Amino acid sequence: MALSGRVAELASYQGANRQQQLEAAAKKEGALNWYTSLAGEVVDNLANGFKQKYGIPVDVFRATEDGLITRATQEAEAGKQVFDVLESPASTGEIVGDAKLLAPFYSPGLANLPKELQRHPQGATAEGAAIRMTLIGFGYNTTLIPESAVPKTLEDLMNPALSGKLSLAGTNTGYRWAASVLKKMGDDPGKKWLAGFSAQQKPQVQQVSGKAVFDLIAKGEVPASPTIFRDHVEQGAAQKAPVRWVPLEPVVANIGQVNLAGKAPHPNAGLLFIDYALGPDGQKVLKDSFYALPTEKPNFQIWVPEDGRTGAQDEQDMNNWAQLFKTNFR
Amino acid sequence: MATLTLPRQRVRERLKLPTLRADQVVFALITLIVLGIVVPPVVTLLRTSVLVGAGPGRAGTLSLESYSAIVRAPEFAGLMGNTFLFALGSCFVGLLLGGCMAWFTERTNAPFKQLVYAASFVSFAVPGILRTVGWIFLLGPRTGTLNELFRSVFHSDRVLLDVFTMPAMIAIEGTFWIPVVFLMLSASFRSMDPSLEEAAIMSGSSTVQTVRRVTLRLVLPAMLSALLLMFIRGIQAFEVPLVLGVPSKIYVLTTEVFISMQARVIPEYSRPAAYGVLLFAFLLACIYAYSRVTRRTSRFVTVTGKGFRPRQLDLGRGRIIAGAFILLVVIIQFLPVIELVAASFLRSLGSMQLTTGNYTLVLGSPAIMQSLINSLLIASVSATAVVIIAAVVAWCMVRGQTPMRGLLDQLTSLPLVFSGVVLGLAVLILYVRSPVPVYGTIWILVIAYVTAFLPYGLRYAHPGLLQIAPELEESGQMSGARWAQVFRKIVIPLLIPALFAAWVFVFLISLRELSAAALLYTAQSPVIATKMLDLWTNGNVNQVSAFGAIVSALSITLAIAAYRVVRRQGLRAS
Repeated sequence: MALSGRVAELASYQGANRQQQLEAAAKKEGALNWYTSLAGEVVDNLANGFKQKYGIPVDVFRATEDGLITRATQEAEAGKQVFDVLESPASTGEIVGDAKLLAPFYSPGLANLPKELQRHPQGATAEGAAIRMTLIGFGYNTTLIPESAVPKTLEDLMNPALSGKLSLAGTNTGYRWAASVLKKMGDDPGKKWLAGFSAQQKPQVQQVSGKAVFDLIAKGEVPASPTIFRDHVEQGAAQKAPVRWVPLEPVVANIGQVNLAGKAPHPNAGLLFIDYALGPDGQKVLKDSFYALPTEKPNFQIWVPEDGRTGAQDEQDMNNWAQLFKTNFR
Repeated sequence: MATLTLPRQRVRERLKLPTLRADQVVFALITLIVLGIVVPPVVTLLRTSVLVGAGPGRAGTLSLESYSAIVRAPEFAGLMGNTFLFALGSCFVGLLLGGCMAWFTERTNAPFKQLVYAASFVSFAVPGILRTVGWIFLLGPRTGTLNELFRSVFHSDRVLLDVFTMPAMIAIEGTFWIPVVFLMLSASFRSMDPSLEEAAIMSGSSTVQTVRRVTLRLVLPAMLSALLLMFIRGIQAFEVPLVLGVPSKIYVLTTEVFISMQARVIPEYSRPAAYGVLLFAFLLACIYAYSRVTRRTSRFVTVTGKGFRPRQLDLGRGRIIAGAFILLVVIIQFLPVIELVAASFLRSLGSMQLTTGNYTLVLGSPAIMQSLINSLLIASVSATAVVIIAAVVAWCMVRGQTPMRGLLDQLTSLPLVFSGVVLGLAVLILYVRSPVPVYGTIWILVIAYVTAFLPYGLRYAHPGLLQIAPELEESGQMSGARWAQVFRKIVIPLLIPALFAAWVFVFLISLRELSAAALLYTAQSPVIATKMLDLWTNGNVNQVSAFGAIVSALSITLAIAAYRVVRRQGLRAS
């Protein structure tokens, strides 16, 4: 508790010498443990950018959202605090935060961020702050899917031309996509549609991240998937891979938040990293990797699963959607 | 004469009391240690499986609900069916290929014998996860290298073999067992008395008849025991079912344990633990069968005092076919590694641009480098601990006077029934809520590996000690040495060849282990296999291949070095 108090005090400090103090202390800490559900090159780019700026190496641990929650709570149970900073869709921060594992922090970047993109904003501090928006839609290999078969709506996924050609990411990405079907069609019709989709189109379930499914699409191993992130496709297209992405409304929007651990072993480095991710340097890295800013308003309908939900409800949702996915696709 | 023996006996009698006491103390101590290693995971697993709804701050209620839910689930029959089919299939593939290799090299004049020995040793060292990923590159249904080759050669739109199907899983897992079957059966072929075969030939049997009626029958017990061991290992297999089975919805018990861990955001351990107990009970039955079979084996004595050299069959023109077969099987074992190395130089999969960038990325990643160091450290410490405990246990079994030593043997062998994933689960639950601060460190993995691999250490140390006559130790005692001195200065040095082999074996399997590690690693304690799995599931395919190539180079180098030492020792011993 004493340690946690120390982090909280440090994290809310707003004095003029904050930057110098943080940098000096972070140098002494010399390390940073970052847990994230981001995938692909952007992770290394963010970590390298931070290292270049402050000379502090970042130890990244990448996992799915529920994997991160499991880790964080298990580690807390064992009294073993590993992560300094968490970056994941808001529900992760909500659940981990409700377990009292996060500390409110001040960061200069918070001032420009709408309050609804912060967790528990209080004065100039918050327990979480959004840094990016990732959008889940239909990604496909243009050499394997003819233009005529590209869906415009969720219902179009039933097109017989797509039968046997679709894969789903068997992770939170897939679960959220299945939930978006219910969101659009209503609970019972949505469930019925998913069962029909599973039976008729026989999608393969890849027990890997959306990024890894995208790699299979780019390689041509998998023709298409409705559980693909827009940013990965745009990165791939920029490198001349034969890939394209289209939105299927309502497009699931993962709004990634950064959080600081209440007992962070390297709180100074953690705060610097949060400043960096919220600030122009980190945002530029994200933008260069084709990520949407959390404030962006796309020209299609999006759905943020955490909107209007509490941490406990988020946990319930995650369990329910995992169950929904498994009932239909295993 | 009488005057000479009398004082010696007296000296012995006088010494007997303190010697016996040391023996008993050592027995009691080592039994306690082994109990402390083996029993807690079993108890934890049983207890957790009947505590439903337990979690952080919740005690849970005593209930058999998890078991009934498992059995009532509609997928249960399919799950058991898959588990059996996969284990049986892969052990037959392993037995067929490994058995043929053993017969060709030991009993015929087929070429490439040295290559087979070296290849068996080396291919064993390459982590299964790495080879599994290599096979995806080779046999991916649309872009796998072999499938593309097949399509372009035969102008067909079909596949040679789709890697994400049960037949492919069986074939690939089967190839993993070739070295083990080979090493088990070649020993048995080598020590077979050829006079029986000669008698058959003298009585007018053809070569085929002789092989079928005599050779195969003689080697049958060894084959049965290899088959059972492979079957057990097949039930416990993890990498292939996880990476190849799960995407195509082919679940087996081990993957079910792993996946049911992730069914809820905050894990509920009862259901996975119940699966674990089922797996545990099932394997216990298999091991019991195995011990019955191997007990019978000793009745078919093949090693006798009679000096002989097994007859080598002249294959004639068949030598070329045998040579081709041997080469093919060796190549199959290394093909996925070669494919990984090739892929590691590609800029991205599917592109033809060459680069060394993947290596720069891998070598520059602190977490990846950390996983290498962790694995080497964990493997060395585990191997050393296993060898020490196994040596003492073996000594108690062979030299000890305590009537309970049979029990010690069974206790030490008990972890054989733990699948890695089940042991990982038990150790995780045990230490997550324990005041012993090992969770999140590499020591929790050392604990798991010492538990898991203790039986293997004993299998090396026990026969090693049986071969050593007790006189040397007795003369040590006669000269006034204490138990510890005798053990350290006489027993250990004499046992070194067996212990070294045990050390190498445990070191190599610890280095490649994934299933227990998958549940026990954290961001700060990654090992090679978990890092590979993470890179794979996160979609860092290029890094997977570069890291895989580095790991292959490392484990192959280590295996070759160990192979040379073992061979030199073997030569010296003979």
